[in-house]
Amino acid sequence: MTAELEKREKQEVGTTAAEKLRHSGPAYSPDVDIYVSDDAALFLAELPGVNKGDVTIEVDENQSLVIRARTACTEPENAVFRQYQVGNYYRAFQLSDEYDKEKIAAKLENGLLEVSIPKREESKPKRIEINA
Amino acid sequence: MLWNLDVWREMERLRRDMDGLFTNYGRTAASATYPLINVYDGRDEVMVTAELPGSTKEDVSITFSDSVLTISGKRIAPQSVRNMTAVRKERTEGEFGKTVNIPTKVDANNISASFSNGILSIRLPKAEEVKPKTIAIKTK
Repeated sequence: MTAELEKREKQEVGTTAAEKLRHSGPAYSPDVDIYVSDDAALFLAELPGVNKGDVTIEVDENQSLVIRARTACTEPENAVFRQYQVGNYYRAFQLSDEYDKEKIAAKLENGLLEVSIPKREESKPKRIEINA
Repeated sequence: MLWNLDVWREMERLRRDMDGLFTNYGRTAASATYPLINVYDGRDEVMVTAELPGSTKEDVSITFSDSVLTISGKRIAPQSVRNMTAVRKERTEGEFGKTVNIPTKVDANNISASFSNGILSIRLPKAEEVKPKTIAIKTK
């Protein structure tokens, strides 16, 4: 019993986000567009078949933005023609220091995820006025 | 120099292909055009599903004639990316169209479609004459 508990605890502690997802069926890499401006970065990730509550976005110990999503689709068995597989999604991006990881905002609409990350105040470009 | 640009694009494509070998293996058909579809053949109906992330039902039109189903529409970048610069572009934009030949006779008047979380599902009920019939065995 104790051995079992210890083992379980070890598993809980030792599992990273990616590993957790790996055990819950196949995770696919979604297509992503990245846009930048002077004061923010915006990620557009395609997550068709995912409900709002089934997405987790986090910044992990390596300062990576990690997007995980669980599909809400269950597939009929009788596929006769197939161009895509139904499954969960996982993708991670390394963020540079100029972004403020505390202020990440995200929304999911019609299977398209938008994650916006503002730049830190001190990283934003400063406009210098020319006097005379 | 144009030649230079193409080399980088080619390398990026190669990198993505290699990446895809591990991360996306088997998820999508390599040569398929947008939108990706699956076709299911049920007992009473044929179901066609299409992945259209970011689109709403107003953006997509569906037609059916002569056993050919057509899904078409236009995909535009969301408002929020206005005045921003794309640094990575994996999604496609613009007009799209896809036709699917439905090899069985369907009841064209009762085709229905629904859209949920970017997945379009079109149900085409089979015509009465092609539905499987159960034959009762009579006892003598």
